[in-house]
Amino acid sequence: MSLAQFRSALVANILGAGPPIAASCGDYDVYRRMARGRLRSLIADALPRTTGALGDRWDAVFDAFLLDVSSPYLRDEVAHFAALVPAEPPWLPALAALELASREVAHLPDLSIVPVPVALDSVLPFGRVVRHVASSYRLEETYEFADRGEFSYLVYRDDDDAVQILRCDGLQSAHLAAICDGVSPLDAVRQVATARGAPVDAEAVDTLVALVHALLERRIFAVLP
Amino acid sequence: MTEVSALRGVGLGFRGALAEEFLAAFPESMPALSFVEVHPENVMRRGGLQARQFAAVAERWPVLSHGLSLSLGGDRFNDDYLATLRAFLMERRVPWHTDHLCFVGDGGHATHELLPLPRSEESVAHIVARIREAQDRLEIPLAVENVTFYAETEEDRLTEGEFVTAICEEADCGLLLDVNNIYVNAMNFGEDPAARLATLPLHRTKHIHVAGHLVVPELRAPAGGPLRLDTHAEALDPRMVDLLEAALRRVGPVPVLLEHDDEFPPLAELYETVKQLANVVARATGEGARPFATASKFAGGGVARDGGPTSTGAW
Repeated sequence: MSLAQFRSALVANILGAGPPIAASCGDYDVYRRMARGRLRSLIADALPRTTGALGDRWDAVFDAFLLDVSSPYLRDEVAHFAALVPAEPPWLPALAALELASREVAHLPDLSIVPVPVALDSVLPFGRVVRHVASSYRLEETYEFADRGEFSYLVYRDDDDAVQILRCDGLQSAHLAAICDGVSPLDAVRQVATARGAPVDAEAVDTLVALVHALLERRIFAVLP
Repeated sequence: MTEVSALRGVGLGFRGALAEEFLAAFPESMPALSFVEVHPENVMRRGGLQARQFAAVAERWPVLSHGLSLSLGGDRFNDDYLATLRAFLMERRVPWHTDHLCFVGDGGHATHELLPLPRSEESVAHIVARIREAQDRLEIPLAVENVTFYAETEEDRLTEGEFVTAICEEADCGLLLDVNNIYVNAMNFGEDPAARLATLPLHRTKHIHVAGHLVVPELRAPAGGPLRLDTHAEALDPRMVDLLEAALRRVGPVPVLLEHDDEFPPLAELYETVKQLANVVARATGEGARPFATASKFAGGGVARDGGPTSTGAW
């Protein structure tokens, strides 16, 4: 067996259904057990509510995830797992996204030093928004499906580098999404109203004011567009 | 702060679980601790609390770098990783970088496990070329770590000593001598640890690692008896510490790192082991301060008392 064949066979055995390497001495299965144990612990620690909600589907999703394990950074693999979470119940991907976002936000480089765009982010000048997780369903501790209307969570890091979550209602979520796309707050109100076929009325303006107040109060934005 | 290139003494790995305790300590309060070692993968591309904690610790102690993901025996380098690593090493001004004589993935897949290469002439030629390329691209000397292996195939035609020596000599690189790995391999394959140690290119040693290991009665070692796993979560085996002392007598004063990666005791308990190791270094090399007062010589404080750690039942 060549070096390339050996590498390929051992990795296929560890991550997939490849046959075990025939050892002349000892047992290569220990590597499969160690690698899988490390990855399983990583995911269970990072996404405790998601993996808990998966129940007996956890093994199947984990096996599928193993084929996507590919980063030099162990922590990056959590995102690969979160991407595979099934939408049954419907809120489960949002729960995974929220747990993933909370973890990523805790460790993302400071945007003022190294801008790192991530999905659904908008890197604003000196801004501190690092992840905006859209969700249509309340994420109950009991994992029970409950339609409580449209809302989203803004996950951010406060001045002490602690991860915080700001809950926004449906209209605020739409405004926030527009702001994250670089639209000015006032234009965001007009844009959202047009998209919804609604007037730019006092309610819309009050909603925006409350949102901007919440963002500035928490210093989520140092500068709004 | 000590010039990193002149590092001696005993260090500890910077780990997130210990970060707060590290920040509460200062070199004056832990005089036996000469440096910290970091896995760059854990701090590169990162901000937030842990990044701030590492930066503060790096202000207090010299930093050595020990990578996990270079995959020197792998099929291709990850260019982004290599570029980020190079920037990190330049920023931290470490004197050399270390990684393992292993591969961690293949064909774009990663296992995050240190997988053994077949000890063959083909592997030697492959990894020598890769070490040279990595040194060129990182613009820093490399020292490579001997790893544990728990199985062999018929392709393993070279002994561990022949394999590591050929690589270090042909690549002209340093050796990160992991004494625990030598001990674990010797015990698993039924050999004398001191004899196995003597076959390595000790004159190339830049740096030494010691750690605890797990004895797993449920798994059989190739030579029979329980398998020993290099887990870095247990107390030091006193016989491994004896092997460290023998190695230091041959190698002379080089940095010695206590690796502890899981099931963390309080930092004060790890520091007790650091002091004990510092006394071993001083005794073996004639370098170092007066002996550090310790609770007792290799009793408690993170060193196994009963001839070796035992299984926690995880297997």
